[in-house]
Amino acid sequence: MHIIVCAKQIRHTYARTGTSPDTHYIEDWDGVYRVNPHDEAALELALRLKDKHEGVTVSLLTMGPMIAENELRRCLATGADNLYQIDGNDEHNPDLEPFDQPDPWEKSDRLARAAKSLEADLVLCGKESLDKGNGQVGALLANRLARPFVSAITDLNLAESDGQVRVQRSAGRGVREIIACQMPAVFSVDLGVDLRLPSLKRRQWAEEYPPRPVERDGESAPPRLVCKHRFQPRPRPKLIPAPDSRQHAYDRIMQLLTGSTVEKKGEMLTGTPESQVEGILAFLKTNGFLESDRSDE
Amino acid sequence: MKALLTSFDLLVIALAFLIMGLGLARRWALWRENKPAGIAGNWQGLMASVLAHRGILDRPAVGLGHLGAFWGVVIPLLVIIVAQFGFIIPQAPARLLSLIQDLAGAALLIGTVYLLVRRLGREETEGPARTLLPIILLLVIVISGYLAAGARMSILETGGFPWSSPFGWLFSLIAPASPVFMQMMIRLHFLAVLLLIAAIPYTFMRHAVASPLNVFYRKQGPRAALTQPALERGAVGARTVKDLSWKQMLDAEACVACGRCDENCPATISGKPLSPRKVIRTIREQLETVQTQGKPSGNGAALPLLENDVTADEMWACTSCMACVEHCPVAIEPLDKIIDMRRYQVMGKAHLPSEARPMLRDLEIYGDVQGKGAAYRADWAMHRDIPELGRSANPEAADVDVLLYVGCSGAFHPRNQETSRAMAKILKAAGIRFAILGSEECCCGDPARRLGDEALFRRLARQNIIKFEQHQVKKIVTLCPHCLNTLKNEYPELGCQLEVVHATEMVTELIRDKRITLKYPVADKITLHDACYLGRYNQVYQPPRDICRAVPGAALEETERNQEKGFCCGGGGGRMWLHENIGENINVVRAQEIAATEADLIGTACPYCLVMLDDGVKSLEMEKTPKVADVIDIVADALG
Repeated sequence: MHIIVCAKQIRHTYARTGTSPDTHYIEDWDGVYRVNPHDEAALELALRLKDKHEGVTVSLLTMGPMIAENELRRCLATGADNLYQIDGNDEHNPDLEPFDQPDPWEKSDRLARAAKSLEADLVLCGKESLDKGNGQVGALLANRLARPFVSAITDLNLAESDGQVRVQRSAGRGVREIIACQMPAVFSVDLGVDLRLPSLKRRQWAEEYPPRPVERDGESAPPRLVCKHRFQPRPRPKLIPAPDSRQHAYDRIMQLLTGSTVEKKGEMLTGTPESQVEGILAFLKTNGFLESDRSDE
Repeated sequence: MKALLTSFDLLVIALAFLIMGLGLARRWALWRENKPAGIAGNWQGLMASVLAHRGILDRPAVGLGHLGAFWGVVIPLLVIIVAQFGFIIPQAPARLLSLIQDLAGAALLIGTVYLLVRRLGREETEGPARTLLPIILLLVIVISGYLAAGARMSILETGGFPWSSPFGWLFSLIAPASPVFMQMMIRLHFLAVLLLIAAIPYTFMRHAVASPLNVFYRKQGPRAALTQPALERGAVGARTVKDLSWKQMLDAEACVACGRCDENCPATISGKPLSPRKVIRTIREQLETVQTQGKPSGNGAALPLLENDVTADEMWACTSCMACVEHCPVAIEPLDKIIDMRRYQVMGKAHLPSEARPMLRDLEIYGDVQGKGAAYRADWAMHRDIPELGRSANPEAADVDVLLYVGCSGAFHPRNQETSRAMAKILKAAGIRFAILGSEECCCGDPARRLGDEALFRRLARQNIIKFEQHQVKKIVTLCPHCLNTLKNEYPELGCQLEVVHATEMVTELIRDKRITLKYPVADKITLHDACYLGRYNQVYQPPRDICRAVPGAALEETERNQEKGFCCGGGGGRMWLHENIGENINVVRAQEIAATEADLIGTACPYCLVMLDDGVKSLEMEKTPKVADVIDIVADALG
């Protein structure tokens, strides 16, 4: 049985510590390159099946340039047999220029052609990716291959009795379903199992392994979804070390006197509501938040 | 004891030495396979250890017993060898020599009887049976010798009390005045001596050869250094005894199972299955198996696996506190063998306790133990005007005297972040030009290394070394003793020689040079917990104490176990990330001991100790829980 595990290499941006709006406040060190964790869970399920049954081959399938090469090779080292790569020559940075990523329609087309040419019995992919979070590729892939599809599975077994697979999926609120599915099939995998540790020997083998290219036959499907704008979240307000209110008064004062540079400027407005409103307006005007007294005129 | 030996005697002597030599040679063949060429010996340590019994005398009663037995064998042996040459000695020195020999015999007798009685009283199954034979042989030797001497004196009827051999005279009271009896005793004496010599390689008396050798070849360089497996050549730690180095095998041979390691091991004391003595004994037994299997072959398929006899619970219970290494009188190091076994588990078999896996994964992806990521690494320093080598484009900021290597705990753990800020404050107060690496810093690699992932350790270390070189760092001060040990003692293996000091060392210097003054009292009674990686590993015992004494109005109260005998907090060796399911919690054991000092402030110099002890004292639910603080925090508080 040939199992294909789709592994997406992503740049996972976990922080925004930059200062420039041009890069959306993202600096080099704000992200790590890794394999999508859902895909790692899918690989682990495939490897467990391989442990239990004879004659199971597990192949990794990735698309695009090797941006997370170390992590992908680590995945290979955990027990996969092959590593196939589609379109290895495209140069783009999937995080800073997200428009360069093909849309799910196009992606699923390329993956489906590769899965066909590799004669996969089972295709596993992650439920979604950490960088885009579309969650569509699995379903579209199943559609293109005309195979049954189960989403967000957490366990995978091969039933000896009927040769079908039994997958477990969580239906929410703690409800679990065991689903019998005919082969060949496509599943998307939810987080749950952790990818095993590779041994050093396998790692060294994986370091040397040349990824096997999958040739593109003909033009792929043109994109049908186009992302027009992508809004990066504003950088989170920076953590200002202020006196910890849980602390003792003495400690708080000491913390203010030593080291901490927090300065809360301002004055408390008192008096009638009208005078307070005037005070706020005066503050806004002097600080340039309101342009002029036009509202008064 | 006649100067003339018959040819038959010579034959027997030769036979005895041949048997001994063969036994030793077979052992040697086993060790030699892994022995590197050109290894330095250590005469000084050997002399101190063998002649003066340094280390063995740490336990006075047994130590003295052994000292008596040792000199009781060596002196008569020398005298007899000298006597074979038939020198003509004037009366007075001959008398003195006789007296010395007599006293030496008495020392041997007393020592052996004491050791024998000790063994008979023990309930333990480990020692007695194994060690009884050589001890009884020794007893036969000394008693037959005395009886022979006593018989001779009875025959000669010297009369009166002979000052040259008081103990021989005592025996002459019971020995019959018959030459046949004397001859029999001399033969028995002779036979027993030869038996003992022949038995050296085959009984526990082999320690007479192996232990001095082990002390002689004591590991040079950093204390309790781990081995460096050749990962490129596929070495992944210790699967069988054949994967151990020759020194590690010698270690196992040198062990007499005295149990001092067990008495000081925090894991053993707190009821974990680990016993450093058993680890060494297991290795020795497996070596024996390998030897009896005949010529050791290269395949190693039939060899017993170390993991069969040293279970996972045992090897993962080690806190790598080095107490076993410190207290071994003959320089045996169970520690590096345990780590080698862990390496095989992790790198060879890809087995790791599941609770530690996320930590190693975080190290792999994010480069820190908490998985927060390099971008947040300098958050503790935010708005505090602390120069960063990594990000500042300002060349002036890069020209600093010392790099503050914060480490993962100091950068991310809320408790330890306070310590980092305190250190920054002290350095600023002293006017030292320092900087941090900021987001370019990554974990020093210690947790990965102690958990057996040597490959990951090297990767992280190389990342750091590249940064050090890039910024032309000359001197590093670390907040964490684990970082200190790694940077100072383990990075040189990877080609990074830098001056590395611990924060306490630096602060002590600042106080001594009057660059900072401690003005304010912080506590009435301070006690100190010695961090293993600062104390035993790097011999920094005094600086934290000097600092505590410099705090105005504070009295320093020592805990029962301190300095070399210091007890681990339970957080080292990767234990910080492993569950403690068996036995008592080590940190609670230590906290109880510290609480007994009734100090109101517990000082330590290690972020792990800080967290572990804080948990420990809180779980005691005392009426007034003592505060746990880093020594650096104490200094910053006292600065005002």
